[in-house]
Amino acid sequence: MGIRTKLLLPLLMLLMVIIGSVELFWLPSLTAREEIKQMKNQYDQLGVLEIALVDPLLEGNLAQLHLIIDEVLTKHSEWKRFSLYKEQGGRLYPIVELPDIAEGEHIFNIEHPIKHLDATLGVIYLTIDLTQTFDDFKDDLRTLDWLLLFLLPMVAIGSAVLQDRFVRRPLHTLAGAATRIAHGDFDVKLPKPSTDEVGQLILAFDGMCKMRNTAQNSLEKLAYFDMLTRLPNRVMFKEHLTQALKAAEKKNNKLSLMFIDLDRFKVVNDTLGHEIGDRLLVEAGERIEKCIRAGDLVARLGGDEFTVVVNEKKHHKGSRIIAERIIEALQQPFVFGSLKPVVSPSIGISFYPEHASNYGTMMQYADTAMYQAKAGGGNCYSYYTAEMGDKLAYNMNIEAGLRRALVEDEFVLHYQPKIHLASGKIVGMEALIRWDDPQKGLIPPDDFIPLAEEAGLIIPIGEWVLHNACKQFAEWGVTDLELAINLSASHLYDASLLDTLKTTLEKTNFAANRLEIEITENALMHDVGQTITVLEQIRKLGVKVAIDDFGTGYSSLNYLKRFAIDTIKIDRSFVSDIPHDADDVAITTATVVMAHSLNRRVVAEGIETQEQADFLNKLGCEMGQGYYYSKPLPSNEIPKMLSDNRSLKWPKPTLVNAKAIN
Amino acid sequence: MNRFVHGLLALIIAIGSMPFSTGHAVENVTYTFGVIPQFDTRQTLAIWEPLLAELEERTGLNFQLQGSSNIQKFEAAFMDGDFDFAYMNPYQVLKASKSQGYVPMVRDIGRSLSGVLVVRKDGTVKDIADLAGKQIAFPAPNALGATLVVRTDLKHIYNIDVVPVYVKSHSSVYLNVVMGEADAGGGVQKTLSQQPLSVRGNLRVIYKTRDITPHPVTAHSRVPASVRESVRLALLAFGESKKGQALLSAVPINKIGDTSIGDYKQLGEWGLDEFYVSH
Repeated sequence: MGIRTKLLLPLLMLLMVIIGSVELFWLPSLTAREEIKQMKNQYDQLGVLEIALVDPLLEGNLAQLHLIIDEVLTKHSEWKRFSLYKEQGGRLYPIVELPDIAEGEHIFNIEHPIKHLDATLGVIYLTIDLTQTFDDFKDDLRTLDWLLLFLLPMVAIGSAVLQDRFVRRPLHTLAGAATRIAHGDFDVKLPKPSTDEVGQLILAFDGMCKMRNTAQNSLEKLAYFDMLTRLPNRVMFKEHLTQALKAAEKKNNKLSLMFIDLDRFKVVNDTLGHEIGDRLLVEAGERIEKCIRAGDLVARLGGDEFTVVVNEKKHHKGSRIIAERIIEALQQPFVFGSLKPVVSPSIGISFYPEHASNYGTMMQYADTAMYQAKAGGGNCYSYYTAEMGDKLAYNMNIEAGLRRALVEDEFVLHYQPKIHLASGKIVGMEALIRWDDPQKGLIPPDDFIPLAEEAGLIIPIGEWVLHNACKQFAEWGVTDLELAINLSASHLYDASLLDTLKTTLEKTNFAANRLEIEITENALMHDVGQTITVLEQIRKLGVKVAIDDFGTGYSSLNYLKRFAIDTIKIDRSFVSDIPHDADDVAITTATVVMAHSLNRRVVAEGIETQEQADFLNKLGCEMGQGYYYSKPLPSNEIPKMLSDNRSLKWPKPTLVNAKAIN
Repeated sequence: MNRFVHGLLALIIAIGSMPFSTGHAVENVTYTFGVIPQFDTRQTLAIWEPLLAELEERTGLNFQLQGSSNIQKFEAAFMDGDFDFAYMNPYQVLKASKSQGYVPMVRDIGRSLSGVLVVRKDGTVKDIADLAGKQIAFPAPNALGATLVVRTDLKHIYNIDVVPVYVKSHSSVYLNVVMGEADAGGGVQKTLSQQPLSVRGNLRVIYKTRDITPHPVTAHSRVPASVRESVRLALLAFGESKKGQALLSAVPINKIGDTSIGDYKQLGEWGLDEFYVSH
C-alpha cells in the first residue's frame, strides 16, 4: 500500500464517517426535532385560537366565531380540515363539513376541547397536514445535504492534493533517491527541505548521504591499504604501478620493480608464532620504507612478500642502491623481547622498459628474479635475465621434484671425512645430501635446500638424511666413526625432533654418542630459549651438537656458553687465508682458544692446503675438513677411503679442483 | 420649480391645519361614527371604512369608525351618547331622543326594512306554528326589525311564545339557524340578503313582518349644526355619484335621502315596548 493510499484512507474514512453520521443520524434527528417543533407550534396556535373563541362561544356569536376561525385558517394553510363542535355534538363550524383527509406521514388529527372555567364550550377537530412544511424543511435539508456531499469531497480532494504535494511527493522523491544511493549511484537530487518533519527527514538523509560518502571514502582508503603493515596493498600497488608505467612512458623515463621475499619467514612464523611473525612483518615493512625515496612506493602484497616501485630517469642505478639498502636494513636482527628472529630478503628486480612494459610481465619477471635470488641462498638481489625465465620454470619444478624425490628416493648422500689433524686419522664423516634428478642429474643442496625450506619439505628431507646416514653407517659396519648430520632451524624447533632422533637411533642401532647434529650459528639464534631447551634435550639423548659456520652469524658469546654444544666448526672463510691473513689468524686463534676454554671441540672447515692444516694443528684445533683431505664422496667410495686412511695413504697434499659443491 | 411647489404645499397644509372660525367645527376634531354591528366586525369594517374615508374626503372632517362585535354593547354605548354620528336602530334612536337627542339625517328611502323569521331550509320547522316554545335566535333584545317586531308579531298575531336566544349579531342569528343551534332566527331582509350564499342558501324565510323605516344615519345633537349639515349634504351627494352609490349599497342603502325623527314616531305605536329591554 503506497503512502498515497495510507494518507487518503483516513481521509476517506473520515469522509464516510461524517457523511454516514449526517445522513443516518443527524439529518433524521433534525427532521424528527423539526416535527416536534412544528407540532408544538401548531398546539400553541390552537391555544391562541382557543382563547379567542371563548367569548363568541359563550355569547353564541357564531358570526364572530366564524370570522375568527376563517381568519386563522387563512393563516394556516396546513390546517386542512377544521371543525368545531359543541361538546354534545352539534357542529358550530364549518357550515358545510369538509371531507376527511386521507392519512399520511405528516398528517395529524387533533381533538382539542375549548375549556372555560371547567366547562367545555366546544371541541375543535383539526387535521393538520404538515407535509408541505416538512417538504419545505426537507428541501432545505436536502440543499444542505447536497452542499455537504459536494463540499466535503471537494475538501477531501483538496486535502488529498495538498497531502500529495507536500507529503507524498517529497517522500517519493526521497525514496527514489535512497534506492539509487543504495545501489551506489550518488548522483541524486534531493527535494528542497521544507520546515516540517518531512524537511527534517530530507536534511537528515542528506547528512547520512554525506556520511556514507565519507565512510565510502574511508572504506576505499582501507581497501587500498594493508591492515597489518599500513603499507599500500596489492590493489593500490597495482594501480600505482600501472600509473607509474604510463607516466614513465609519457616522460620517457625508466622504472624498476622489486619483488622482496623474506627468507625463512615461514620458519619464524611457525616456530615463534603468528604474533611475532606479524610484528616482524610490520617492522620489516617500516625498514623497507625507510630505504626508498619520495615518489617510490613500497607495498605489501601479502604473506611475506613486498614490492617496491622505483622511479628512475635514465638508468637503473637507483634500484641497485635501494636493494642494497634493503638487504642491509633487514639483516639487522628483529628484537621482540627475548626473541631475536632473523630473516633476510630475497629481492628480484625487473626493469622498464628493458624487460617489460606492462604490469603483468613486470611482476612475472621480478618474481622470477626473486626466485633466482632465493635459489642463490637468499639475502641478495638479482636482476632478471632472459635465462631466468627458464630458471624460474626450473625452480618451479624443483619443488614438485622435491616432493617426488622424497617419494622416489632420488636423494643420495655423499660423505666428507672429518680428520683428526694431529694424527691424520678419519674420526668422523659429515653426511651431505645431493639430489639425483633423473632428468637434470645431480643437483647440489644449495640449489634445492632453500626451496625445500620454503616448501616446508626440509623436515622430511632431514629425517631421510638422518635415517639413511645412520643406516649407511650400519651397513659399512663403522662403529668408531662419528656421523655429522646437517639440520636446519626448522629441525631444531620441530617438536618431533627428539622423537625422530630417538626412533632413528633405535631403529638403526646407532649409538647416540656417535651422532653429531650440525646447526648453523644463525639457526641457533632464532629463539634462544627454545634453543637452550632443545639442545639440553638432545644432550640428554647423548647426541652431540656442533655449531656450523661459526663466526658468520650473529650469536653472542653469552648465549654460546649457555648452549649445550659440543663442537664449534670454524667457517671456511676464516680458514682460507690463514696463515697469511693476520685477521683471519687472529680470529681463528681466538676461536680455538675460546672453544677450548669453554670445553668445546673445534673443527676447521675448508682446509685446502698443508700449510693451513699445519697451522691449525699447531693452534690446537682438533679436527678439520676440506678438499685437502677429501671432497665429499658417494657412499660406494667410502669404504676405499676409509681403508686408505687406515693405511696412512692420507693426507693428499694436492688441492682438489673444487666445483661449487659443498 | 419644485421648490416653489413644496413651499406652496407647506403653506397650504399649515393653513389647513390652522383652526379658523367660519362657523365650521374645529378641523382637527375626530368625530366618532358608530355603526350597529349587524354583521361581523370584518364585514362592518369592510362596508363602512371606505364609506367614511370618502366622507372624510368630501367633508374634510375626520371620522373614527366605531363598532362592536356585540349589538348589546353597542346599544349601551349608543344610549350613553358615545357616538357623534351613528347608523342605528331607529327604535333606539327614538328611545334615546330624550336623553341624548340623536338627530336622524339621512336614510335609505328606496326600500323599507322588514323583519324576517328564518329557518333551516331542510329543517323540521315547516311553519310558524311549529315554533311554539322553541328556541329562536335574535341578534339583540332591542333589534328593531329582527327582534322587537318579530317577537311582537309572533305574540300578537300568532300567539306563540318562544325562547329567545340573543346571539349578538344578525350574521350570528343566521349562522345559528344554519348550524342548527336555533330552530329559527329573527333578522331583517336587508341583512339576510347580505349573507354569503353558504348561509343564505340554507335558510328559508317563514315570516316577514310589516315594513319598517330603515335605519338612519344620525348625528348627536352636540355636534355643531354646520358639521351635521356638512355630513348630511355629503352623504346625500353620495347618491349622486356611482362611487358613492356603490359605497352606500354595501350598507345596504339603495337610495339615500333625507329623514327626520318624524319618520320614526310611528314605531312607538306598535307596542314594541313589551319586548324592549331598557338599560
